[in-house]
Amino acid sequence: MSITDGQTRPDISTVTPMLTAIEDNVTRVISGKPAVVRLAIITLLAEGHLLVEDVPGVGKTLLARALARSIDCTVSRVQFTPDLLPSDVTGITVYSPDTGRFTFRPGAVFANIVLGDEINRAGPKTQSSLLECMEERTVTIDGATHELARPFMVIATQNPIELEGTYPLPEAQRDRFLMRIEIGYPHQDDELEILRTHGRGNPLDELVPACDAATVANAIDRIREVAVTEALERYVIALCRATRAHPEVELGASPRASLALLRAARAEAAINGRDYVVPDDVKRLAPHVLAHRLILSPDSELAGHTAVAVIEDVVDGVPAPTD
Amino acid sequence: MNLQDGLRAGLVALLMTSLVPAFDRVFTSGAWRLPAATAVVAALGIAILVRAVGGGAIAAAIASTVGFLVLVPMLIGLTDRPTFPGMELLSGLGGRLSEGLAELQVTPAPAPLLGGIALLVVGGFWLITHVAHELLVRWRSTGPALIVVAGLWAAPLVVPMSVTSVRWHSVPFLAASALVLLLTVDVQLPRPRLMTSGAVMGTLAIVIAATAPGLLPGYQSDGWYGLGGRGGAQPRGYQPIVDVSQRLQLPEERDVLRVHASQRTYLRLAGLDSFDGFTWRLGPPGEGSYRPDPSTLYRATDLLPPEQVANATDPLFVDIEVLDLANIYVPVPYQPVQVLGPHRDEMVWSTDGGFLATWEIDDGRLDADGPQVGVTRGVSYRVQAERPAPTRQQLLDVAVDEQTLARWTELPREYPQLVALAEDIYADAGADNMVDRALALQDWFTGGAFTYDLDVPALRGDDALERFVIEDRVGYCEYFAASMAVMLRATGIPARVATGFLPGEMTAEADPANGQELAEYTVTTGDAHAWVEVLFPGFGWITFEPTPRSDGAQIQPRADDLTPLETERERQQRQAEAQPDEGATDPSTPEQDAPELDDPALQDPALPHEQQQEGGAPGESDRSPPWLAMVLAVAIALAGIVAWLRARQRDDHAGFAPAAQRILACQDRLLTTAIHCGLERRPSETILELAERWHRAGRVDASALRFARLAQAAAFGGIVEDGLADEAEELCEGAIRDLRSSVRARDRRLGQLRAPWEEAKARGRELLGV
Repeated sequence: MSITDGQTRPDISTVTPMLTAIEDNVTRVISGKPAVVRLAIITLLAEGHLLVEDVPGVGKTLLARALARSIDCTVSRVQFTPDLLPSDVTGITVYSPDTGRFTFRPGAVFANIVLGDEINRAGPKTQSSLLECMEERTVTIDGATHELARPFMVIATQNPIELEGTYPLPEAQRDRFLMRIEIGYPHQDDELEILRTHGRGNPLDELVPACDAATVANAIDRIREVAVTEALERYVIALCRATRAHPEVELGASPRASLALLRAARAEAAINGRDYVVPDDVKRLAPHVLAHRLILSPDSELAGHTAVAVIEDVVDGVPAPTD
Repeated sequence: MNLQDGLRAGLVALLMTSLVPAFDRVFTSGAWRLPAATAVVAALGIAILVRAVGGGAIAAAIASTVGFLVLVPMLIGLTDRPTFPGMELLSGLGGRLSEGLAELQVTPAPAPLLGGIALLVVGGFWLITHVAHELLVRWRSTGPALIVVAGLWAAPLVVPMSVTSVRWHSVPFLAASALVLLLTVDVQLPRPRLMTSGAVMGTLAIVIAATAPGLLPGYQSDGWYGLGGRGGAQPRGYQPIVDVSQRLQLPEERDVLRVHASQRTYLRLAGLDSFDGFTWRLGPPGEGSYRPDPSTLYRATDLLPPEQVANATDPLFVDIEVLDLANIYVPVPYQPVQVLGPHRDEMVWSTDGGFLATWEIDDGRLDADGPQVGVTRGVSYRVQAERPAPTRQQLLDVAVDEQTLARWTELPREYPQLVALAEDIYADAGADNMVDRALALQDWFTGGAFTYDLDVPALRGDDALERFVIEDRVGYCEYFAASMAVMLRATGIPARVATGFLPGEMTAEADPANGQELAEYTVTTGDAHAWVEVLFPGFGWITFEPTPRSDGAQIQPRADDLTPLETERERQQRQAEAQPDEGATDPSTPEQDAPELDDPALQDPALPHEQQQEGGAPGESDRSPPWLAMVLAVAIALAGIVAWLRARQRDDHAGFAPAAQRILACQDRLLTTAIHCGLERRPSETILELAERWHRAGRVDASALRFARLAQAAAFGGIVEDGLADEAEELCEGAIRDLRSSVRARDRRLGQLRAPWEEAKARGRELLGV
């Protein structure tokens, strides 16, 4: 199948400027990490959720807040602790003696961007309440269903070290995040820059929103229409199937992973100013979208192999389409 | 003329040169090489010249035709100097052509360079050279050019010969072809997948290979398979095959010999000693290839020993001037005693078969190099002969010893019907001895029951003789002689078939007063003849004449005169004059009356004429083997596969917008070039990554990246317009140029070799689903 002329094409001309504006904004706060910023924005545009996994102090929270600040939208932040209750996340119906009625008090998820700090510190019950919201984009409490905001994006952070007393996300749950990214330590020059900017006060305060929530929601709708040829769909499927067949993998990428990869690739295409996806989009995003969904075999984990390396191996082995 | 043209013209010359071993195989000497080489040089020169002055293909064809008509008659000895092609020359060439086709049919390889074959070889080389030049140089089509040359190359190789293997004769051409392919194949081919043209040509080649041997003259009965149900034919060696029918059926009679003879005489070429159930042939039966036993060969410089001792002989001598005849066997009166003339140095006399032939003679080794064409235009020689001339009385008591009888009455099978018929004839005539029986049989054949007709089907099939003798009773000398000889042998009389020429028309009487002691006879192609010889030990081979020729030019022995000098026509005229009454009531010759006297079998329409037609197409035979159906089935299947592949290939970019298709075609070209340069795309690489890799390596500039993006837009659903396609084509050409110039020439050549290998590997991977 291929796309021929005459079909209505999505107007993605506004996406690139929007991206540039947000990127500029965020980069003012987090220097030297354009790729990470970009991935975060792609996640937003692909209606996905982001799992940031890195050591403390490299700017996980800062990234989330900068992103939220750059878009004129509501932001909530939940610090996950072992005593956090699910109702703290989703909200609760309370009796009001004044009116004599039950009223719904929304939880933290009722915001455009939800920042879940150290998600692995909360108990499984609380974790899963958040994860349910992520998937359903609604909250049902006492029989009443409440729509979540649009755009809606959860940025969860997780600390890969200091595992004592934590509840690491089960593999099945990780699948719900579109991407997992690592921020990594900044470059020497960037670190110097951080010292200087952050020393003068909180740079976040200086940020001015680059666009509003409605614009982003509109962009998301358009990105859904970005063209994908059959050859490319087959390529995405081939990549995911190849992870399942890979000898070092115990559990490969699910069909949900194929969907996620394609969604992300559409967003990637759009921010590159294209209304069609090319194999390069898919290849570039595959490690970020697929790696956290794999469970490697014990042998391979013992040998120190990483999921990212496996994905790179898979990408190298699957023929890319040229037409 | 640019360098590329020159290189390609040189390759044409190389290809033609590579055919030499293949042709050497079928000729007894290298005499064909000079004319063929001259033809190649001339044809190539004309083609190059026309191209150099800007002439088109039609101009080249016309120039080549004119050159052919001027030069080739000289090359094949038709004229002595270049002449402007006129009607006379054209008809001469036409005659040579039909002669050549006849020679191909009757001359088993290795053959000498006979006149007609020379024309075919020279003409073939000329034509193929011209066509190959036009294809390879003018149209840059390497494949078709090679196929055309391969056609010529295959021609000598399919000639069945028991002695030599085809392998080494074919290698030079294959090597030359490989070189040509390497040096001339255009790098900017479409993507190297299964080429439709290749599949089509392969199919065609198979069909031609399967059908051509059956359709070409000369291969009809000697192809790889038997067309008439005879099975694989054995090479028959060098035979003075009775090509009488061919000579008789030439469109125009030609004068062959001018003979000054002391008396009228048959001019004999050879005696065919054995019958294989199909044709009469030289040499002992059962031998595949005939080579005379050196101990039976004698140089013609000395007196010739008699083939058979003849006690009652009649001396005669003849002067023979060859007007237009190319042959190995020398026409002589039987049996010759001495040959005079400058050419006798090259002649040998064989007492086996009784023939005088021109032979390549090495000192001390008579059978050194085999026969060569010695009798050609302008040769003249004198022969003294002692013609066996016994009377009937002398022959009555002749006894034949067992050994002689066994040797000369051998037949491949029993002929009970013919024996019964012969016995009836003998009984009717009251003949109880050899000579009377031979006469009775001869008279039975000539007595009116048979019709002389050249336009009859060839003797084909196991029961052909019976059909001729018992049912059809229409034919010419070969039929009569073969049948009578078989009937004689079957009834225990040593006999054979002799071939040669009738005495011919007397064109000048002897005039002793003016010093002209010999009468002059002119022998034409129409005088080609076959007759029967019967062996009477002590008296030699005696001629009998079973053929009732309609022109009455034959000499028929009678009981009262076994060796008459007058022809049948003269005898009848004499008889008519002697008996005017009878002559008045019967003005026509008995031979001409024959059809009216004959039985209704003559008009029997049931005779399956086509089935026996010489040169009949394979399908016409009722024994047509199933291979024809198989070939057709294979051809149809291949055509189907090709059609399917084509359809699939067309579908490749179907569904894309026209502009996108153009860009994708560019991308295919670029990828093909990359493969040829050894820079192929890794399977997991996108076109953009590939362009980036080349860019990083400094092979291409940034415009290649731009092209890659355009190609991706075209391939993955971006909207591309014609303007972009134009740009993409330009960018692609630039990228292809850059890419090629970034690779050393040697690697490019190697890349061309690697391309098919890579393609095969990719296909294999695809098939295995890896």
